[in-house]
Amino acid sequence: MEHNYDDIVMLERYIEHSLNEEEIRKVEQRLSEEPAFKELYQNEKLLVRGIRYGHLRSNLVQLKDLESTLPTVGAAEKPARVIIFRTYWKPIALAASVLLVVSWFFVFSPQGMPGNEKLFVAYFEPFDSPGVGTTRSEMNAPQTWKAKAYEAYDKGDYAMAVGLFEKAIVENDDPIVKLCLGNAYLATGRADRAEIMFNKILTEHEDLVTQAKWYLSLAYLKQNKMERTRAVLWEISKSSTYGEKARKLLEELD
Amino acid sequence: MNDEILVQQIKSGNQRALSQFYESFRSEFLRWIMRDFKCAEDDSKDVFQVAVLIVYDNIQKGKLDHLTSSLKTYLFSVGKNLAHEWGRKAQRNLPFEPEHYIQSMVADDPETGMEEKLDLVYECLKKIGPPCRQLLELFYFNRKTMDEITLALGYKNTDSAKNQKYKCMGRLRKFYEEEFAKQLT
Repeated sequence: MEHNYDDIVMLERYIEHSLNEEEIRKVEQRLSEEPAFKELYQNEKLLVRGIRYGHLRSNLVQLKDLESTLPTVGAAEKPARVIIFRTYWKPIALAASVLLVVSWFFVFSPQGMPGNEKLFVAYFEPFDSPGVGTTRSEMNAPQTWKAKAYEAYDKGDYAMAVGLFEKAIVENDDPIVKLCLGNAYLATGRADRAEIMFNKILTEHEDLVTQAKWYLSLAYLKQNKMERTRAVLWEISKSSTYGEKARKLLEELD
Repeated sequence: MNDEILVQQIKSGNQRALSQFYESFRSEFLRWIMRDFKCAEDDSKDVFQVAVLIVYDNIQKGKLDHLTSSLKTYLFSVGKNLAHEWGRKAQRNLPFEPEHYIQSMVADDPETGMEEKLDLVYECLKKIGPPCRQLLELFYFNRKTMDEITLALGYKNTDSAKNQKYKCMGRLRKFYEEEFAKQLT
């Protein structure tokens, strides 16, 4: 279906509350007089709601995944469901067996995304940045892209940090900036870009090699590249900084 | 981590902060709701997840910018209302469905068939690709400005970001209209 570009822009701005009074009046008049315009408005509103709904649904999935990794919480009194269980224990046991088989398939199958995602969430802890303004002269200096990026990164605003670090890299070729950028990519779900960044550190710098390898393994894990994940973890399994974590993760993968 | 920092981190779209928020209050909340409302453990988890998402959504909307109580008090008061609602549903043998609450969070004037339409948009969002989806979510959910999105996603300038947003909405609209038409035939 073809739509008028100006109408769509106008309606988007109406939904975003960025029209002036006169424009609002015109839109509302057209909404009351033109059925096609009203239908277009309702569809645009639905799409915006759908975007918000989609985001919240994804967050619900994230919380459910997280919940499945957490220990059971005991209550002071037994909940009513115990009675249901006593009455229907046979079908419940059968359902549980089916669920166990299905879960086993998802965790250990080559497409084992849910299991790997849980491991990623459990092991990914963003690298600590060196912070902003460690000396008085730095504190008084005008903020560089790097300083702004570290500030956003330390606040946990990784989406903003990505853009700022990308600018900072143009200013100077610093492996810590690359490591933090890679981490910000990982935190915002862009594991493919994180992989490129960590590999850059390994080919272009001699510092931060173990750190880069640890996060590279997580970038591989996130993308379900299991052979590469294992290979990199194996390489750092004897290091003093990440060795223990790497060995533990390797065990969990096996 | 204090409430202000946690609110700031959640507002910036940091997914880890959401998990931290969840884990910080989980045990206490679940024990409380299971003890005081006689809520079964699985249902308690559903109630807690919806409560966390309501608080999360209100943070994005800026409703907690000037929080007068602690985040915990706010979360528990949201949880209390939901627990009462769970109780009312349980009496009538109705399930407590988190997806239903999410739908009512985004549509304050629900109309007939809204649930199916939202589910359809949700499916279409999966088709437009992660970069487009991220851009649209940053704008419509996290309420970032186009300047902030330009920086966050590395666009050349604000006009490029705006242009991209328009294209992404266009793709979503096209997929939705196609899928909607399929459902009608």
